[in-house]
Amino acid sequence: MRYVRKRQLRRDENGNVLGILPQALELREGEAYLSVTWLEHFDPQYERGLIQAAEAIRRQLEVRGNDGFSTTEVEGFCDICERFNEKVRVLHEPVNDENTGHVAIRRFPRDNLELLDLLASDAFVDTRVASHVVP
Amino acid sequence: MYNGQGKGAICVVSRVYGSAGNIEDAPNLLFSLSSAAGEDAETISNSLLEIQKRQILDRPIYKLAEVEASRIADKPLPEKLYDALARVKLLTAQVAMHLDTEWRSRIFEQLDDLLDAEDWHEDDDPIKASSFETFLRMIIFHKPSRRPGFGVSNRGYLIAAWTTGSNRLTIEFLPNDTVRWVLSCEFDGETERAAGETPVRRLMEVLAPYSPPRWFADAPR
Repeated sequence: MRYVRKRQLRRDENGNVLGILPQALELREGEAYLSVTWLEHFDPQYERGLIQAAEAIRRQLEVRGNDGFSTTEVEGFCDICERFNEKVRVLHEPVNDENTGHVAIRRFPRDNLELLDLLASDAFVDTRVASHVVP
Repeated sequence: MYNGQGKGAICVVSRVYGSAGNIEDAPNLLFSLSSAAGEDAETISNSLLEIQKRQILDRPIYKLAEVEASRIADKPLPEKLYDALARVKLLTAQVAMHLDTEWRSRIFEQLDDLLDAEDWHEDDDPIKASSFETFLRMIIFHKPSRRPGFGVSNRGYLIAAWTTGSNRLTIEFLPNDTVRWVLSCEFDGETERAAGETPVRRLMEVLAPYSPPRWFADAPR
């Protein structure tokens, strides 16, 4: 699951959330990896794992109600990266006690907008507004 | 509510719009269209309009934001957002004569929502005015009838996204009239993808093989 700020959610002209923008997956300057959270670390059942992952992110970061959470399957994510000859490494790296499900996607490319767009649309297919993801 | 800068910018916007949406006080960027009558009037008018469009691309929009930019860095976030919103609306007002009134009004609503302080974080960069200038040039020159959804990149550049089913066009507006774009579209059941960085004046030329009306045209009613 990727935490996405409101300004990087993909919307239509009426403000309806359609998914995430490719820029939601861009590494900032100085970032060495793409941060996501592992659902099954909290619960193998998808919906419960999603809610608990969101709670973990809320403990770690300041999440606003109109921000979003977007979820991808690891295999599909890696397959798309492979198509672009990008061999990413998905590593469970808890950074603190607040989010023990933190995962770092290393060797993630910078500046491959076509790849980011495909990941945003075809990998991160379950996007929800944060205020709708509550226990 | 805030200090003089933000208040001053809003006062200018109010003066520009007036009570009936007139823009008498806006800088006059263009010469008058021909008022010739007769068979060739429309041809002359269209030719003059094309010249004016090219002048818009060549002439800098009044760079109010650059004068202000050095002063905003230390302001609290709500004030930064307030100033950013005022700047983009003032920039829009300067070219309002080229924009449909309803279109402009809806864009302002979208920007109000996008720059709502409740949704932003302290480390976020509001929309850079230089990015918004590029967006305005794109809108004026290429005139998409359909409004996009908006976003902002990590660098503070405006993003416009058009989505119709599986057809997507995402444009990031960089400074200096450059756009960074990525698209995905279907032709005969197959998906084509492309991405690039292009001067805004060439955007339609670059997008032409992908049939831009699929994104820019209003849906049939």
